[in-house]
Amino acid sequence: MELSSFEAAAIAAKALTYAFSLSAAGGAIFVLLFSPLLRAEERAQIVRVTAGFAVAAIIVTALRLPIIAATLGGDLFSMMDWPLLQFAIESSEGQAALVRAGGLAVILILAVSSSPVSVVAALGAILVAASFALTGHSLSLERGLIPQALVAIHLLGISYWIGAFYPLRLIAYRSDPPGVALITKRFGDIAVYVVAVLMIAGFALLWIMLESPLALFESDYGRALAIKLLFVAGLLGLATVNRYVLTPALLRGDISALPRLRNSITVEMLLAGLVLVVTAGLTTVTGPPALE
Amino acid sequence: MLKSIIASVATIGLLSASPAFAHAALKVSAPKSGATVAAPQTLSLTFSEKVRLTQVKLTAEGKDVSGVQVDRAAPAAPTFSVPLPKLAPAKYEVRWSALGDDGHPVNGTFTFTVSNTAS
Repeated sequence: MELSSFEAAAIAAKALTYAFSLSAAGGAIFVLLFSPLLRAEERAQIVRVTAGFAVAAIIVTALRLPIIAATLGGDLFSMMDWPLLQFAIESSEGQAALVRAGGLAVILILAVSSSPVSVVAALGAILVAASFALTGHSLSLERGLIPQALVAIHLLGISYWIGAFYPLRLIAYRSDPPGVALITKRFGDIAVYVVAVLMIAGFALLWIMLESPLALFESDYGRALAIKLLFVAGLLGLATVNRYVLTPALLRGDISALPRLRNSITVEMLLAGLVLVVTAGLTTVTGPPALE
Repeated sequence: MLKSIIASVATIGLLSASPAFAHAALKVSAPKSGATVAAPQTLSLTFSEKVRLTQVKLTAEGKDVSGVQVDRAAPAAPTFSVPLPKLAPAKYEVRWSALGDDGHPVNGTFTFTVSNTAS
């Protein structure tokens, strides 16, 4: 399959939008849920990085609109063609960008205020997740709000997971394994329910999009999804190791579990990156069988 | 470099002899792609779903044909009729672009020939 430069740019921008937006949303959720267990300097650092993710997400979200204009115009100059930009802004993609930027701006208040605003910032995270349901294939299915609600729930769950990568890796630099274990154990206890919900929402979406399990192998969209599910299986495997091997080791005071946890999270970050690039690719250059 | 990395990852699992695009697509045009016709007064484009037609460009022998404009205020619809200026006999290339309801931009090209002898 040959990708045009604009398609490649659109996929890259979409993958970065997913990564930064979901990291910012997840960072806000992490601060809300785990602040009492964090040291002051850790919380401050996590808030700074979350704010950085939010700013980066606003930039790449905005950048996607000129990329749409360039795709419509067929050349780079069209990125600044106001009538084409207007089409992009008025489209569902433009409306989603506006809602997402609003949610990210709400998350940014974490950086300028202290703990009472954590709840508000987490509401911003919900807006960010919901923004992805305002455009794309879930909108085209014309099956009411169900696919869109499933997308929002799925992405909110993913943001809990992805948004915890940086904070957990930072905490794994502490020198007291039991203190780290308190946080990883609580994270894992909540993750059991979050992952269950995000998987149920994801498989319900799969059911709607693919129409038949065979489409997982017979359509381009299905095959790309199958590859994505392989990466997700890798992520789940690592999460299981973190919960059932590394966290008990940390609770026992095993100091060697700290670098192993950091390495495990690094690999999780790479796998999650691949999942996001494949997702960006399959939603940009192909579509679900239900829409054919 | 970046493009090839993205292309490599994004095409994992997307490799197929017949790529399926579930985004809006041009279904029918008048004149039809590859047709030889008498000078048409309008260009009609029918899509697989409702879109906003954003641009139509007509070229003959590499030169832009002036006077081809889409109604950019028009709402999303599956069919559009674009008024054409008086076309001299030549082979014309149509480049169109549109924005689907789902926010996906789509575009394409096709050609037709204007001939005095066509009925």
